[in-house]
Amino acid sequence: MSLPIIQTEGLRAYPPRMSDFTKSFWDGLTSGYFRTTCCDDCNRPSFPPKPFCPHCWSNKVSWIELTGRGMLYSVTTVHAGPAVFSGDLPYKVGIVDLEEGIRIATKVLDDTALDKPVELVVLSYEDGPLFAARSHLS
Amino acid sequence: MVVAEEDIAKSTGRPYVNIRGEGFFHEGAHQISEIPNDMISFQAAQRAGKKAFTDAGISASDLDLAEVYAPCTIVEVLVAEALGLCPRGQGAQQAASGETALGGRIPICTSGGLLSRGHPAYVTALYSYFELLEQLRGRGGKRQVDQAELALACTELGNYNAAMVHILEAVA
Ligand SMILES: [Zn+2]
Repeated sequence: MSLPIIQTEGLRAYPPRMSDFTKSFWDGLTSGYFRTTCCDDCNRPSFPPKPFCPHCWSNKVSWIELTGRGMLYSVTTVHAGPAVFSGDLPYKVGIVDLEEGIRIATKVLDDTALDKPVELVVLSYEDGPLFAARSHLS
Repeated sequence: MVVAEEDIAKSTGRPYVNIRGEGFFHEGAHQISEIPNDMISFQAAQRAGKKAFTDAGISASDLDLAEVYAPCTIVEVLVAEALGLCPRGQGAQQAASGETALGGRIPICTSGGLLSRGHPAYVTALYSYFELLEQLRGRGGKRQVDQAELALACTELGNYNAAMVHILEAVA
């Protein structure tokens, strides 16, 4: 299932660092897929993606695709932020619990209430993708 | 601050306190755990506190005062609840009504805590232990808690992903 892709003008204010390992994540995001690693031994997913399993320490992991759907666990509005994000002020950041049982931190785009369903979207900037959450009416 | 066996501390002839119990717990995550949990229950503080109380053979209600690591207002409330110093959901109310102030039921952070005394990261926790040493040796001055005999120190890392608790006891 692919994520909605929102064409966004300009460059990312603070481009994420991409490693050889996390390239699969960012490439996937560019195409609208929210991927992470899942353990071949205990079958538990992990995020951010990593080349080992933090639950059982196995080194055997595979890439899986997540739905990008979840619930908003917490959210706050940043009014005084780092200089690099000054162009975005005020902006919201939140904590989302994804359907697959993974908790992530993410930018939040709208006024979703706590414990309400959200979906992840791709913000497709001119220099690459970011992800963010917005309310999802199922 | 010097840590030594009690006979060595005693032989110096200088005032000292005893470490009566200790507890540590790390939940294995840093900041936001990828496994969803109740982020305001401070599980690490709960478990480290329980270990320290068991180790010391006392309960939270036996304490005379506590110094907790709380760099934000809400954190003092939540950690006070996690350690059992206040019932869950009543930490803020009890702080506002003076139960956690000097002269109250359980004074928390007579030093002023991280927000008033200051928060020089990496040595902050030592100031908390020092405050308890002063209190348990009767050297608290205007901040002195009456008859202070048992005190708790709690420090942490991350978003209370880990906590270390000590129970200190005055020497009779
Ligand atoms: Zn595993």
